[in-house]
Order: sequence, then C-alpha cells, then structure tokens
Amino acid sequence: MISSTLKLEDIVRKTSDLPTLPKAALNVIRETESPTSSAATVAHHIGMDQALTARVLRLANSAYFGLARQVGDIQESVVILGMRNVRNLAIVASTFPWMSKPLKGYRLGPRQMWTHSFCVAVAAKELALKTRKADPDLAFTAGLLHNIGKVALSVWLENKIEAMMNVAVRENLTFDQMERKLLGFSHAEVGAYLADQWSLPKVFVEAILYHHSPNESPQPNPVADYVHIGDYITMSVGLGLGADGLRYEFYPEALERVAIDHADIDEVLDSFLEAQESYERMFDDFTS
Amino acid sequence: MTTTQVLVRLADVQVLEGQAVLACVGLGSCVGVAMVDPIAKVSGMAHIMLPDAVTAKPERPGKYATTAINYLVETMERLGAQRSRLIAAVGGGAQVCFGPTVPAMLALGSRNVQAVQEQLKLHKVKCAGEDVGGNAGRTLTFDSTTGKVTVRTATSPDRLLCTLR
Repeated sequence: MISSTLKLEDIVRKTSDLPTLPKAALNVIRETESPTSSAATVAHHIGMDQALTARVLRLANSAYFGLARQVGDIQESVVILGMRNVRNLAIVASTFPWMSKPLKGYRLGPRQMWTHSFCVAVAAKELALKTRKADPDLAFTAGLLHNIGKVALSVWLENKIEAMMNVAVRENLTFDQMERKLLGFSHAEVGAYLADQWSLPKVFVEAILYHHSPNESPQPNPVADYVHIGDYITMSVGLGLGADGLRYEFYPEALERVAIDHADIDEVLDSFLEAQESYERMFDDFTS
Repeated sequence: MTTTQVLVRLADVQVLEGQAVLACVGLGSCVGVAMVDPIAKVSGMAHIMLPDAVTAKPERPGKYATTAINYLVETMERLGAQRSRLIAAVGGGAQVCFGPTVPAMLALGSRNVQAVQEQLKLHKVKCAGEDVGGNAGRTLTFDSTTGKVTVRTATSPDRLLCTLR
C-alpha cells in the first residue's frame, strides 16, 4: 500500500504522464465565462497554435457537420459553425489525444476514458439545455474535464484496483472514498488541483472537485450538478466503465437544484445513443 | 462448422442460426437477455436500455424492454424457433451509483429488470437464470454450442450463470 502521508502535490509531481492542454486551448477555456469573449477572440486564440488549428479544421470538416464545402480557416469555421461550436471543438481537439489513451490503473481500454468523458459532456449539455440553470457550454466543458484526475492517478492504481474494490465492498465504501483511503486523495481532488494549476475558471475547478459530491459545494454550482447527473446517465448505459464500475454515490438533491426529474433523465437517455453515435463518427474521421 | 462471434451493442438485438457466441459488453443498468430454441438451434440476444419507450414511435425496438423481447421472440420465430421451446437468461440491471439514496424512479437497473421479467412472462418464455442488481458493470456471454451463459465483471472472471438447453 502507498503511504497516505503523500501530499497531493507530490502525487502530481511524481506522475510522469500528466495530462496537458496547449496554451491556446487553455486560453479558450479560460475565456468561456468572459463577457468579452467573441468569435474574434476565440479564432485569435486557436489561430496562435498551428497544430490545434489543423485539428479543429479536421473536426469542422468531418462528416458529422455535413458542410456543403470544406472550411479553410478558423475565421471561416467560426462564421459557419458558430463561435460556441468552434470553442467546444478546440477543447475536444486538445483533450482527445491524451484522453483516448488506455488507463491501466482503472482498467480502461483505449478510447474508453474518452468515450466516458465525452458522453458526460454531451449529457451535461443536454440537461443544461432543458432547464438552463447554467450555460450549456460550461456544462459541456466541465463534463469533458471531470475525470482528468484519473489520468494522473491511474499509474498509482496499477495492479491495485481489484484489492481496492474488495476492500471497498467489505467496508461499504464508494470508490472515491477508497482512493482517499489508499492515496489520501480522490481523482476528483487531483483533477481539481490540475485545473487550478492550469488557472481554469473556478466554475470548472469546482465542478471537477464536486462531481461525485455536489452537496459539498460551498455555494450552489449547477454546472457540478449537471455533470453529476450526466455522469450518472453515462454510467447507466455502461459507457467507459472501468474496474471502479458503478461504485459512486448519487445525490438526488442535485436533481432538485437544477430542476431535472426522472422523465428528463429518461429522455436524455433515449436521445443520447443517437447523439453519441453521431459524435463517434466525428472521431472516426479524426483518427483515420 | 465455424462459430460466429457477435457483439450485441446498446439497444441492439441479434438473432442467429447455428453455432454462435453472443455477448453484451459493459452492462450497467442495461439488461442483456440471451434466448435460445435448443431444438431449432436458433439463438438471440438483446441489449436493453430502458423499460419503456419515451417517444411514441420507437425507432429501435431493441432499446426498450416493452419492444425488445417481442422483437427478439418474433425474429427467432421467423428463423424457425418455436415460442414454447424458448428459454432465456438475464444479466445486468445494476444499481447505478452506490448507496440507499437513489430514488425509486431513478433506479433504472431494477426498473429494467422488472420490465424484462414482465415481458418474458407475457411471452411465456422461461427464464433459466439471472444475475442482476448490485453495483458492478457486467459482460454477459452466451455460447450456443454449449448452451453456457457466463457473466464477467471488471474485477471477476467469467462465472457460469446457467446452461440453456
């Protein structure tokens, strides 16, 4: 067992395979909440990074959007697809390369972490579109990033997860409680630490931190609530389930806070599959 | 004779004649139903997501318990199966999220299991084995050559649930 006297900073410092986001993508995310954010500023940030520009254009030109003709530059893609779409594409294009790698510690195969994160993003956005207690784009980005802590913690859990699950069952613990017992921190805390290190807006740091415990948020955070419910929906259909499985607590108070009921959840589940399949086609183009 | 291997995806129903291995991978609250007519050697599997259709005209019969079992039975009959000989096994329907605080209407896993059991009863299909509930994601596999239905979770190897014959 690992000593629980390790500090969170030590864990992050000693992890060689930390997730990274290019500066241009960080600037795009940091601006999500900014009132001065515009099509021009989003295009400017993306345009500063050639590799990111190329990836965003590939996604914009994928079969998913079905454009009549190819878009040739970011300004044009913003005009045709809209600023919000292009901003989300930039975040998606920056996270896909490392989120699609397998995470041995959690027993997640290639693309499973990605599929889960992306589906939570889609579900959180769909929920936010229903009741508008938060900007649906914020819910999307927070959903995409909610499990980044797993990328950092995975290596620490290799060959331990079966034993951890056995202890969790025996002692009636959720998996995040079990992470805390073993390492001193959960993947939510590690993810929030990383997001804070990247200077992401507080709404994302807190949504990542409280995605398994939204009632602990000091002030209401509807983005964390949407991600919590989106995570529940994605786990329901078994998308990107690791060895930690379904062993997380659900807080029904989150439903009340963002005015979502079980019929909304059934509806999102019902439309979710078609949405997820069409999004997956976007990435088939991306990886081919 | 070669054995066909078929992955039954979310909201999908697959029916085959002859030797086949059918599997539902990563069942959370979804329910996998394996079914066979051992005499006609027709096998099938459904990967059911929801108890009942939310939309008036469901596009995918395999998505809902209320349409999937009927679709599975009728498709198997078209390939020569007889309803009176059909036997089934059921796996999945886990409680998504841990703890006693999940409201009954959100307990999708148990709602799915209940709806599947009702539909099997309605279609007079005998259920020979089930592995449902709990907190683990499952993989349900049916080998029509041996009739064996096995269940695996992320942390435990294949376990024999029952033999359909």
